[in-house]
Amino acid sequence: MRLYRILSLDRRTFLRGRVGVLDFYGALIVSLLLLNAAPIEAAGTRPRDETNRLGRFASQVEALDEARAIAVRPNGEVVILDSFGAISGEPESSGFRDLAIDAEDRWVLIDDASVQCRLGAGELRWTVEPGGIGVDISGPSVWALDDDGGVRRRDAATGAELAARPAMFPGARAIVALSDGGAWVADTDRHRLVRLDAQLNEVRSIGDRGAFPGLLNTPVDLAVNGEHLFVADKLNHRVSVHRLADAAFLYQWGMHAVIPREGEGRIHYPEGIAITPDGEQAFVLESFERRYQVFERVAEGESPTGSVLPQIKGVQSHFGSDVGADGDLLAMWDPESSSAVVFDLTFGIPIHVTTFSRGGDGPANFGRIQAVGVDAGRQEIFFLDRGLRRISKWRLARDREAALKMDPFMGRFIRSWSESLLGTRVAAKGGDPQLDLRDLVIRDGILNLLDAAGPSIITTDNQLQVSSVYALPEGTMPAQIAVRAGGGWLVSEPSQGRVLVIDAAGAIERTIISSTFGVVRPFGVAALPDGRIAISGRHSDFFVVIDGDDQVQARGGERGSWDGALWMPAGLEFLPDGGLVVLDQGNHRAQVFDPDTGAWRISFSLGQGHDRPLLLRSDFEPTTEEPSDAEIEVTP
Amino acid sequence: MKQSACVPWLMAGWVGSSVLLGCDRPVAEAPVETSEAMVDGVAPGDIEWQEGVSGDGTWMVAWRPLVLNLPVSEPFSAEVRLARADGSPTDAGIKVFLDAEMPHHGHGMNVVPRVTRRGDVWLVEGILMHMPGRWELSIDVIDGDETERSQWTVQLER
Repeated sequence: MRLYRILSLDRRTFLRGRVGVLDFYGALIVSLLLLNAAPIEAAGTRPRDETNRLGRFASQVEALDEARAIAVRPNGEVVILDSFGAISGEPESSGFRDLAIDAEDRWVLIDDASVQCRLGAGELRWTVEPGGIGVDISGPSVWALDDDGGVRRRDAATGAELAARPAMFPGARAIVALSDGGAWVADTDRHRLVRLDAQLNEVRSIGDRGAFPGLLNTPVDLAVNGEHLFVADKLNHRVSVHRLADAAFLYQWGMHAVIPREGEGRIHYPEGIAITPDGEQAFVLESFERRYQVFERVAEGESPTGSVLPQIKGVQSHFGSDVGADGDLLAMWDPESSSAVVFDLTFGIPIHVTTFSRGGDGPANFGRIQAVGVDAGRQEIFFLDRGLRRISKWRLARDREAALKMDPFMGRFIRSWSESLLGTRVAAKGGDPQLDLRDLVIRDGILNLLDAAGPSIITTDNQLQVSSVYALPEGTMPAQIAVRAGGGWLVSEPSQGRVLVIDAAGAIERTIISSTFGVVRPFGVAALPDGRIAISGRHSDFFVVIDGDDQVQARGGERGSWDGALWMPAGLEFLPDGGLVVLDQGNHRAQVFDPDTGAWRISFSLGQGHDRPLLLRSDFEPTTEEPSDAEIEVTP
Repeated sequence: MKQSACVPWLMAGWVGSSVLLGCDRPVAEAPVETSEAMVDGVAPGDIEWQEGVSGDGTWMVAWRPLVLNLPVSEPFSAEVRLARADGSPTDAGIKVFLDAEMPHHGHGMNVVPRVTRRGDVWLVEGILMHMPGRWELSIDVIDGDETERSQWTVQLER
């Protein structure tokens, strides 16, 4: 009955607090309180560890952009991989995907093609192929994860491969080396931690998806200090600390921010974690917030930072990075609840009409959704599920003639196909069966799939029968795709700073260098019927609309959280009325802009939408007021 | 005359699923191996099959409970049979997964029923709908790398 005991602890903790004004988002906040309240510790039969706890907010470092990784040297110097994979202090470097530094100041770096080991910041000791996405070093071993979840153990002195096993943990994001030659893996898409011995045997697995203490939701990075294993628990917005020997839960810190950009102890999408060798400081990388936070030891009797919530303001729902729209339907994915949300576009403001599915590995569950495609004609929605490696089709039981209403029964799972089956069909058309699907757009009933492995564009019907495979130039690193009205596609490449304009035969018509108009890392793309192109800037927090000569016709958005401002804008779509939808991922909402002027029109999210500004710039400017009674305090 | 054990609680769902899934398409007659035990004094063979077509029309699917009235919070068993809509043979490797959800409550069953194949019929044991209300009962046919669903609405009264 552990669950009941934990629940009881949380409820008591909450009831002792003072509750002020709760609005529509109160339920969300209460949930966060119940599930993330900082004083939560190991209880009952779980191990207790009253000392050596980290979690006291010390400082934060901002203006990092969307950094990829963080590590700390023995002397306490913090090293960052920036959004292009360059090492801080080495601007000429690029392309690295992960970095680790051990207590002897041995550096290991991994990129798409290789792993390298350095002594300190300088002397290169060895470089070996292949590369991957995660790497760590400790004692005699270097461990690496590749794109397909394959694991390799190497000799730390020479780089020689000692053991390897392909595709052990598809979707896994992090691995941490142990001094005994083994490793812990963050099996990200299965929300668990896996212990490997030196021979790559799985000797223990612990964890499941959830928000209660000890459960995980998309663990993306690991760090070890002493007998503690630290987990960047991304979608729980916290750091979860476990006993190194068996990953038994010890304690956690962090709490979801409720004011945009809040920080100062509240954690938002932690992407990386590093601990100083003396265990005195933890560095939590929040790529999404363009910063890292520094946490120190918690004094005896003190609670980790994050136990006091400020007044609720501007909290919205979470959305993934893609939006799908067609005709009178718009759909997105909510990573936290692992469910799909659908909006009706019949009226001026998009209206939320249904939410369906949830996390899990059943036929109708979602894993990690990469992209959403909408076919309004058939009222079908397709999902690229990279977590479960499949493509799912849902259909809406929706009567367009009936009065608009919220209907939880509207979404019906129809069918799914594994990625490997699609790969087989792609191969039959002359393409590469290995797929790395990044985006999906449906137009005129045709699925347009963007594959980074080929790289290629794949077109299929709604039974996923492949009609064509169009090869993209080797080295293309695509993120999003749009279909042009007259045929052909647009493909964004954030890491290359460009957008490819492709004709209907698959040939490159022209290349747009988006940095010429200030979009450093182009992400979302959309095509207007008249040939204009909209591009969102992940780095620059605005979008542009350009004409056929790459001249900027309109620009909208600025960095911020008020209506009309953006933070890490992602997918783009045009609405039937010509409005440009920008998925404002960092502000947990979508906004509609006028593509002719760039002016803001609408902000919308689950259960709300407004076309007159409610969130003003002045709402987000710093004040010097004392905390009000409306604050919620949770005391242990 | 066959006894229709399901009419009182399935009527609404039967109509609804007919609209959505085109359940007017008949399921091919197939030899059915059923439990010989009597169910509430009724031979299982006399309990009516609920028929439907999978979402993309690949499968004709039918199921029937091995109880006269679906119980609330009591486990029960059901039988499932299926055939390809195009008449081609059903592969030996086909798997069946039966589930039930309450989408407006955001939950499903608390148990995973056990499915065993008996010739042309799949026996599903341990179905447990733990509260009254509207349930969406689904049968997924898993054919290697493809899964396709048939779905029925069940209004379960206490």
